[in-house]
Amino acid sequence: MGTKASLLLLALPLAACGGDGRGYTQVALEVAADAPSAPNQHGYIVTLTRAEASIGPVYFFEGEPLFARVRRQALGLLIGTAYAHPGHYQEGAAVAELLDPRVVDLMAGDAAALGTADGVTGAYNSAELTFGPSADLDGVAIRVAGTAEKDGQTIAFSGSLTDTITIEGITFGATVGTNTAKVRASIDLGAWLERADFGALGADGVLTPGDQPHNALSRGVDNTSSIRFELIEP
Amino acid sequence: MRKLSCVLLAPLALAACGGGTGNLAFTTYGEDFIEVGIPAAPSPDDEGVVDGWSVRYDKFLIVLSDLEVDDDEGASVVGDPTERVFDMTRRGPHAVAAFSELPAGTFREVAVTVKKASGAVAGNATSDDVALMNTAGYSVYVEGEATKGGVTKSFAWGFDTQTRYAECEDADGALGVVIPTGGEAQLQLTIHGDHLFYDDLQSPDAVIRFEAIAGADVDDDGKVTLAEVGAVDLTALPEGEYGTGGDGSVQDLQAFLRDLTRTFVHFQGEGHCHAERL
Repeated sequence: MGTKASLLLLALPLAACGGDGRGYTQVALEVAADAPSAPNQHGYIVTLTRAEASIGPVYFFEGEPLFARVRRQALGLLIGTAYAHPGHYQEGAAVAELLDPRVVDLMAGDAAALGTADGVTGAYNSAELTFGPSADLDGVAIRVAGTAEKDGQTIAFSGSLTDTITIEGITFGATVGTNTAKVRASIDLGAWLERADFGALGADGVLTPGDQPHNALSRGVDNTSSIRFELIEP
Repeated sequence: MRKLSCVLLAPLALAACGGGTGNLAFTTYGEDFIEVGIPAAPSPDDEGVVDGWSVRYDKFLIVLSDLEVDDDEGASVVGDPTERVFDMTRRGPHAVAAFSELPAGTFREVAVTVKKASGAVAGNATSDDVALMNTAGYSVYVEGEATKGGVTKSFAWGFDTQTRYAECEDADGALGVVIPTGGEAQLQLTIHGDHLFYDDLQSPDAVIRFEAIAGADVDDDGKVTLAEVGAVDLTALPEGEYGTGGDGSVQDLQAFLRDLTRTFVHFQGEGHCHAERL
């Protein structure tokens, strides 16, 4: 957690004193997933039978991501502005954080609870979410399986991502008050596999580091537009 | 140049007018990375190109336009739509424009636009270079070469991306400019040429690479064209490199480079502006 958590912990007691108008709050986080709904770029109709992920930590920031407007001064000196800029990104301090990761079955249908984040009230303009390897997921961060159908042929596939993937600068715009808010992270599973050319898979159908479908999955997961945060209860 | 009279200015500026006037000078500077070159990084933790290549620009043309300074009410203090072409490989800093007898005071909005040339004039560029930019409608044009071992790859790329850099603040977070009564403020539009070779559109851990660009030279003629980098699908590059952040529309190396042209302009050295796509 490092610097981000430290700054938040610094902010909390100061905010509670009323110095910058922000108070302590909690944010209940849940995650849901949307199944692929259209053929991907390579023409494959993807049907997932398995999609699991170890999610966390999750942070929220006051600053907005790349090419979005930047709100300033809401938190005075404690919170910096965020610049999602290659090599220069300065996220500022977190305004809410959920540190403990949790394995989520993204095919379960209903939204799954991730936990409750500690935070401060006010503007939440971007988020950061990590997929990390977990012993509860056989040591991987993300696991998928399913079929890809094209031109009458069906390819069964499976695969996983083992490395930690931290997705920074996810667009989010909400004002969180003193009541416990609820925020949902919706993951677009179609975006994860949008660029996968399943025809490049080996005969075993396993996404393997170095092959195109594995590369495409890695890039799809790392794409901030594959995750949408929304405030569902203010 | 457009200077507004005091009566047209917003209250803050009116107060400033009462306090006197001052001058403002814009300059631009390409730093050593454009003027001298980008060396190969001795180690991954050092500054430079991390994959053994070194890069040198022979030409780095950029169109700077729409210089803006506004007061807090949005009233224009400086509004200069002139398109000026600069070759940032020339030793700088270079004068861009100067404005005199402006209301003194603090003005938090400073902006500049990099736009496609159409009737641009020379900043410090040659007449031939200005003609090139105007004829092709480029906002940025770069020529140069990269070397690694005994291999050299040259490039000559024109871009028509248009980006407005606004809400500029210095490296300490100070927004805009303070025009002193009876004095002159200087604003440097610092051009970061190393950004064209970053390997991520968003990550703070982006590093400078050239190997993938060199590999795009499929006809091996030593010249890497934009068409060739456009043929490189990002999924053909190593995982962990050339991440696109939130811009899923960037799917090949040419589009990636185009996006990076929107990150060139900085403020007073390492300060930042908010980049808006036009």
